[in-house]
Amino acid sequence: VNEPLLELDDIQAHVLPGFGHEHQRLLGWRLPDDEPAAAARALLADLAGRATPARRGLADRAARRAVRRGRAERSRLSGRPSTAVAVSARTLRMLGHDDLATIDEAFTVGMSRRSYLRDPPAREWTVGGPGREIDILVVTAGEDLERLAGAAEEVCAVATRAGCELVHDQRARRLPGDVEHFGFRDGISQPVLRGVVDADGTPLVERAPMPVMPDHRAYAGPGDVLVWPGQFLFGLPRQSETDPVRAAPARRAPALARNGSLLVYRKLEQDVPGFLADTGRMAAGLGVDPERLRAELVGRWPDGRPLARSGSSSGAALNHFGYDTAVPDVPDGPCGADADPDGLRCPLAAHIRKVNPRDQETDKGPPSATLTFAILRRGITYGSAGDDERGLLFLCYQTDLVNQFELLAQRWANNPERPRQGLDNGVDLLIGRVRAGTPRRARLLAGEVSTVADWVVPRGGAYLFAPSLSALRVLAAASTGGL
Amino acid sequence: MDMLDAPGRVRDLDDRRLAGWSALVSAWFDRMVERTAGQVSDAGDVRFVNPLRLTGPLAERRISWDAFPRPVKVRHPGDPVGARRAADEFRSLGDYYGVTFYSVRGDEAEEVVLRYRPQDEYCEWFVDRDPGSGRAKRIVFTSEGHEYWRFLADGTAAFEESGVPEEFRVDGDRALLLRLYRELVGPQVRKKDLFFGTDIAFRREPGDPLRLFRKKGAYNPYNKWNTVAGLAHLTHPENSLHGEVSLAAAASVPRAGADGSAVTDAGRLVCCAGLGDPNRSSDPTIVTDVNDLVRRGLSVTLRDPVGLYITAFDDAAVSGPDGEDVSHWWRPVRGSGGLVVRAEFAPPPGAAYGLEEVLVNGLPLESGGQLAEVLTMSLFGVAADLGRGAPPPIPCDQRCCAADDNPDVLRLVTIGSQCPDGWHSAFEESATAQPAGAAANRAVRRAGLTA
Repeated sequence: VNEPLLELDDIQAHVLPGFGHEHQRLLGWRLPDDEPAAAARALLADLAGRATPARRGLADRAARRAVRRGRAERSRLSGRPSTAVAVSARTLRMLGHDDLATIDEAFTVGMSRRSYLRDPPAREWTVGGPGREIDILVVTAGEDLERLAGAAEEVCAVATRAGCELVHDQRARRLPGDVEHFGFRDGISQPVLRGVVDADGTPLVERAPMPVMPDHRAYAGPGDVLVWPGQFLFGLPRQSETDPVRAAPARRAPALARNGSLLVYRKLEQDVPGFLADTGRMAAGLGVDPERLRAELVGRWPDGRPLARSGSSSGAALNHFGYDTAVPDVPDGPCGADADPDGLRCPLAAHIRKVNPRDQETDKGPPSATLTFAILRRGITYGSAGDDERGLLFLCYQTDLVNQFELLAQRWANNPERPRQGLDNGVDLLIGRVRAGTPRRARLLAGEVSTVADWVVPRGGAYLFAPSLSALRVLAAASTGGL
Repeated sequence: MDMLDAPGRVRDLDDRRLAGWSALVSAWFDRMVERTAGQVSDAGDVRFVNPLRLTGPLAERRISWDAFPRPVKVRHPGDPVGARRAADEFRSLGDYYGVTFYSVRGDEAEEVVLRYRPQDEYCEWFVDRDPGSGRAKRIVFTSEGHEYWRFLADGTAAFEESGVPEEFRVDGDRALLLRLYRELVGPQVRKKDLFFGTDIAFRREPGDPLRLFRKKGAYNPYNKWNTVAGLAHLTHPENSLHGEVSLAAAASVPRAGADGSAVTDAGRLVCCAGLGDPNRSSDPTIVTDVNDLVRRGLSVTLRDPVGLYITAFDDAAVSGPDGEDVSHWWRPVRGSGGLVVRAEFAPPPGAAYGLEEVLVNGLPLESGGQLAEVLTMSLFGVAADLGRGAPPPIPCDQRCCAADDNPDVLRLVTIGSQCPDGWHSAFEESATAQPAGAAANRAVRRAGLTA
C-alpha cells in the first residue's frame, strides 16, 4: 500500500499531531465592518509566521514524552508556545476565496444554523453568537503560562492594530491525568493517520506487527486503527466507505485547501454537580453503584478501562477490543478480548459506543464506512473544580463536516435507535440532545434511565477552516478580486 | 393470523379484494420459500417462512436506513448539491433493463421512453408546484410499492402469479384507483392518463423480435401523474414489495467465503449473495440483519403488513426563515399505527411564508432530497425459534468489484470472473468458490420485467 507523503512543514501542528501542551488560550477575532479584507490580511500575515508546522509539533511532542518518561531533562522542552490559525467562511469570502468558503456545505452555512444539532439558540450562545461570530480563531498553547501570555499579547496587539475585535478569549488547561470534568480519562481512542514523512517511506506512525484482525481493518498497533489522511487533510487520499484498507480519491477541493482541514469548535459547559446528583439518583433507582452507572454512560471506567473488555486493562489494551467480534492476542502486546455485540458488558447507549461503534454494523453500513466518520479530536478542558463555569472545549478536525462531526452528533449521539439500528437503546446521555422539554433516556445494563437535565450544555462555537501554512501566506498576501 | 393486510394498513380495499391481496402476497412468500429451498442443499435448511405460517413467540426487528439514495450520493463524493440534483433527474426504464421500449399500434412500433426516479432507497419524492406561479406547494414522499397500485387497477390478473388460488383471484377497482390519484395527486388526473394507450413491447437489440411488456389498457405505473407531474407510488424498478420479499428470502441463507468462514458484514454479504444493489443503504442493511437472525438459529420473515415505511423525520433540521418551528409542516398522509407510507411537507393554511423560505439546516429548501437526507426508512422483520438451529452456509455466488477512480462505487460480477477494466476486486475477496444459485439471484433483478 503506497501511502502519501505528509507535508509536515505545511500542515498545522494543531491538526497533526495536536497540541499536547498543558495550557491553551483561544482568541476569537471579529473582522471590522470597514475594510474587513485588509484587516484579515494584516492579521493573517502576522499569524502565517506564527502558525506551528506539524514537524515542530511532532518534535515538541517527542520531547514532552521523553521528559514524562524520565528519559530527558525538562530543559529539553522548547518552551516556545505553539500557535494554530483557523478562519471562517465569511473571512474567506471577504478575501475573495469563494471557492474555499464553499468547500463544505455545513462550513458555508455555519454551526449556528445547523438546526439538527439541537443546540440552544445562537442568541443564547456565549461564543460566536449573533454579531460576535468568530472570523479568525487563534489557538495558542504552551507549558509556560508567562510565555503563553506573551504570545497572546503579541497576537492581540497585531489584531487590534488591524482593527479586529476580540469577541472570544478563552483560557484552557488540561486536567491532571487527562480527565474531563466528570472524572473520566479523555482522548484515548484516536484514528492513526496513514502517510509517510520522508522520501524513504518512513511512516508517520511506526507499525507494530499485528495479527490478522477479524474486522479487516489495518492497525498500526493494538487499537490504533489506520485511516487515510484525506479524512482530515484536504488534497490527500481519503478512506473508502466500502474497503477498510484501500484509499479513495481525495475529496474534491480547491488547490489552496491542500493540507488544510475543517475545524469544529464547541464550548461545552459541564454541570458537574448536576451530573453527579442525577446519576446518583439514577443509580439509587436501579439499585446499582453510582460509579458503575457513570461508567456505563461513558463505556469506560474513569481510568479509561473499557467496559467491553473483561478483566484488567492498561496501556495498549485500553483500545484493543471490538464489539462485534473477539479480538486476538497480540504477540508481545495485550491479550485478546471477547466480543460484546449485544451490549451485555458495555451498553449500546454508552458514549464511546454511540460515537465509535468500531467493528459493529451500523445504520450507515459496514464497519469500513464507520472509519470514514472518524474525527481528530483536539479538545481540552477549561475551568477547575472551584469555578462556576467549567467544561470541555471540543475541537476536532475533518474534511467533511456533514459526514464526520455532524453525523456523529446528530445521527448517532442524538438518535435512540442508531448507530446499532433496530433496537431502541436511547441517546448518548453525555452529549445527546433531544427536543427541548423531552426527557433524554438511555438503556443501561440494569435498566432504563432518563433525565430532563442537560449535563453538557453547548455554549456556542464555530465551524472554521485551518489552512495549511502555505495557504495562510497566500490568504494574507494577495487580493483575488474579493471585497 | 389468516390474512395479510395492505401496506400501512390502508383501508382502500373491500374485503374480497383485501383477501385477494393477501393471497397474492402470500403466494410471493411461498414462491420465495421454494426458491430458497433450491439454493440450499437440504429443504430442512430453509429458514424463510410465509408470515401466515409462522406461529409461536415472535421477536420483531426493525431494520432502518436513510431515505436519500446512496448510489447517487457515492457517485457525487463531497458534492451534496450535485447529488441532490442527480437524485431529481428521471432515468429511462429501458436503460435500466438494457432494452428499448416501443408503443405498438398494429404493425407500427414507435420508440417510447418510460421514466423512473433514481431514488432507490424505497422512498421517492416529488415537489408539487403551483402551475401558475411555479411556487412549490408541498413536497410529497411515498414508500408504496407499484404492485399495490397495479393490483388496485387490475387485481390479481396484473401479476403472473400462479400461486394465487382461484377463489382469491379478484378484479381491480379502477374507479378506486382514479379516486386515490385525484385525492393524493390532484383533481386534474384523468382516467385515461393512467393506462397504456397501446401495447408496450421491448427488445434488446435492433434486430430482435418485439416482446410484449404490458398490454394496451394495463395500468401504467410510469404515467405522468406518477412521474413528471405527480407522485402516487414508487417508480424505481428495485423499489418493489416483491423485491423486499425476495431480498429478505435470499438474505435468509447464510454464506461462507472461499475459506469457509461465515460472511457476516454488510459489504461482503450483499456482494457474496449477489443481492440487490451493493451501493444502496437499504439492501446491505436488510440483508445483514436478516442473515444475522438466521445465523442465530432463528427462522425469519417480514411482519404483516408487509411494506416499506417512512418511520422518522428529523424535524429539528427544518426551520422558518427566523428560526421558527415548522416541524408541524411534516404530515403523514397514508398509513396508520406508525406505518406511514406517504407523507408530505407543506405549509399549513394561513402560513406566513411558503416552502421557499424554509431552511434545512440553514440552507434554503430547494429540493426534496434535502428532506430525504433526514428521513429514516424501515421495514419490520420477525423471527421465531422453530428449533431448527442455524443452517450450514452456502458458497458465494458473486463478488463485488470497485471502481478504480472511486472505490465506494461497487458492481457485482459472478464469482470466478474478472473485474472489468477500470474496476478492481472489492474487499480483496478470493474468486475461487463455485457459484451456487446465481441464476436464481439474477432472476430477482429481472423480476420487474416478468412479475
